[in-house]
Amino acid sequence: SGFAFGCGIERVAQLKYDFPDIRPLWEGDLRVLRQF
Amino acid sequence: MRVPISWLRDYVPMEMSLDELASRLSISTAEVEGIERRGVPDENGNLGLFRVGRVLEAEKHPNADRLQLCRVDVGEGDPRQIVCGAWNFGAGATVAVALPGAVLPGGLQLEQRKVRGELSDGMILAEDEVELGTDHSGIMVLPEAEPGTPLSDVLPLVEDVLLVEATGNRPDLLSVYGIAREVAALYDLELRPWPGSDPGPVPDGQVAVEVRDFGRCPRYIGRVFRDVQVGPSPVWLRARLTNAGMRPISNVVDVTNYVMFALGNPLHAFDLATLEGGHIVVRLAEPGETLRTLDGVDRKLEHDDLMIADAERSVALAGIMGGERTEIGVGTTEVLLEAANFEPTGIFRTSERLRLRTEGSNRWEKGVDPYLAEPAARLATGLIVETASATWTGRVDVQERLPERPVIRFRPERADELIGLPTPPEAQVSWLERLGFDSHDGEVVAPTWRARDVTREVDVVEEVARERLEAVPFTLPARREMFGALTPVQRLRRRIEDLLSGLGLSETYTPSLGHDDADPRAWRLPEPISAEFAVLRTRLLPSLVETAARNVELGAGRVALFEVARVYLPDGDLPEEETRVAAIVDGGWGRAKGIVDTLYAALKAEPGFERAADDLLHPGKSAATAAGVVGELHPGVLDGVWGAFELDLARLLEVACEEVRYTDVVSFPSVRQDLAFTVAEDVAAAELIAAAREAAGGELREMRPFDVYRGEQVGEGRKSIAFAVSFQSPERTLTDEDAATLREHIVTTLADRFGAELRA
Repeated sequence: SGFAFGCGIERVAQLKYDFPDIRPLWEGDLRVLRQF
Repeated sequence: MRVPISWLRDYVPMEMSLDELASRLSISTAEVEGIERRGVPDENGNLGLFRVGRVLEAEKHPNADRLQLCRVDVGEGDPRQIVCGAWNFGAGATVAVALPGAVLPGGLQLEQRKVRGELSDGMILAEDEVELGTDHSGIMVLPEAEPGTPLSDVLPLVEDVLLVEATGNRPDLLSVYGIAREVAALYDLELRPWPGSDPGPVPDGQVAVEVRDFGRCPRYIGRVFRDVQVGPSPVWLRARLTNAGMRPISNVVDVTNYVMFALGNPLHAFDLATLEGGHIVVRLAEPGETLRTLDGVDRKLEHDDLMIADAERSVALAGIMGGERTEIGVGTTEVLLEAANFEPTGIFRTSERLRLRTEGSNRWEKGVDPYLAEPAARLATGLIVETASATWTGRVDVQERLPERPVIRFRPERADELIGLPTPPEAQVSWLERLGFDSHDGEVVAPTWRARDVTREVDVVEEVARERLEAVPFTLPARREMFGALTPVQRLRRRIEDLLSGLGLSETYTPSLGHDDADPRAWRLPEPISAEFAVLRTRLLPSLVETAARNVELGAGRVALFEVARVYLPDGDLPEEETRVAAIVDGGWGRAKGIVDTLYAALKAEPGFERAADDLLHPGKSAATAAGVVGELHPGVLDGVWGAFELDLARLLEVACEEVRYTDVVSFPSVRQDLAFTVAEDVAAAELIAAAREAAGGELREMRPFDVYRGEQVGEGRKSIAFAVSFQSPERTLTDEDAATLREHIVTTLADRFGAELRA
């Protein structure tokens, strides 16, 4: 037996950094990336 | 699932703000993706300019054959004159009027104006002009109401629609009533009882329905109507369907869709006259059977497909789509209404095989409560009788034993334990009862609409938890013993990420799937969701190039991106996955090489650049190390001067020096000199250095190129590379003779191997 996590790391980041949509994380927009 | 608020209010009295409702539902029930405001703008008293009107006179416009000139009472004492292009009404009709100054959806503001010489002092509205439907063939004819009544009292002129995204285990939320039930439980409000009731006494007409497979169809309620008049639905019904995202068609069909949305049980209506033998058989398809569904497509059926059939042949794909031959049309006068229940996985299999998903099949495949068929049939019956002026003449309810409600042992202490937050048992029970559970003596009984989902004690605990979710405090997991460390590859990766980020590059992630790949053997998905995500990538650079291009379009100044991710190389049964680090930077070849040099220096390794070619890189400005390629992007790939590299992490690990062993460099002085060698153009400095190290051994401490000369003095096709060289021994001071000997070894070796000449 083992562990299965349905919680993607993007969702955790979404909660911590408070942004509404995770899709921009995959688009490589520097205006987003430079904030982190 | 689109939930119009005015419809929701029919079932539960709501006072809270929509934002508060949306966030409460998102935490405890189902995510609310947004709230859509539809219809007429509600600012500056705009709604007051929309009124119910009664047409007092309606005649042909004296100067225009296609227009009517009307006098309409809008409750102001004197009627208004309005010119109207529709002909589906006459004097005496009750209509919807917008007065001059009114703003319509889309921003158009009405004004008084002359139309062919006659003043038009307002507008009689068609349903599409106020976003209540799609019909523009005529104006809206309303049921009788007092002229001057605010139109918003009679129609949902302004509507807010909640966009609710329910998870797969909550099919009960795929209906307005289901959502209302949740809202009532969450806020302790009174849920109105089931909407709709049977009109009049139950008729005793029989309906012939035979179910041959109760496993696939546990229940089938059939109701028959005669003297049906098929026509448009009343405006209120069309408006609700439109706000819920469905297209109104005609009364009987609209009622079936309405009830599906209201209660969650999909229904279907058949033209009874087209059913051979006037009866229904629910059975599996015969091998080779076909059916033309009402979208005009001929379907080949298989023995696993559940069909609704008449005495001769299949007439509908059960739960998915009706057949063309038996659909309701303008001439239909007898209707058989189906309010049934179908087993989920069978519907799902057929739906997947035929690639046919409908609002109905979407609900069946998640599991619909078999006890819901009765209230659904009742609501539909009342509406069909009302909207189609029909007579209800018969009914039948064929079922096998319907499932019992799950009885589940439940201990409130267990809930406290798992949630981590104590909740008084009375509060837990009271909440569960509001959700429809019965409770007594350490047990709860789940309601029929949650019977598939809540079957174990932990499911009941989850019900308690979701109501309390916001109150649960943040804690870290209890740690008893923690041990472990990062692997060498993980450590290396972090060093590289820190280094690149320190050099000013931003880390990004791009999708592992692309629309194509340069390698024809790259792994392709057999059934991609979208053509954009169909092939597993074999390199990182192409998607980084796209990302850089996008950033340039967005006006980014300096672009410097890197990614550490996997690529998937074709190899046998499964892809060979390699982790790569790749980057794209403005500044061309110089910057890219500088970064790679710094990277290797941080790993305390030699890059060992060699000439190399790569499809993506500029032919004269590209090189390779043992780990990958670096160079300037080929100008055809992206406008501008870009540097790029892509290196394999595993190979970098091989050369990275983790363990530092001190080398004595201070005890004895070194001998330093510059040596310049003339070689053919295609010889790389790294090759010369490698050969020199072989020749001179460990006492060649350093050999670093610092200049390149091309010109007359060295001749065509040749270049001269100048190296700063230092010799040193850890054991003794080297003499000039020692240095000279070492130098001789180097010069000889380089001359033999590369035809290199030492320049004076």
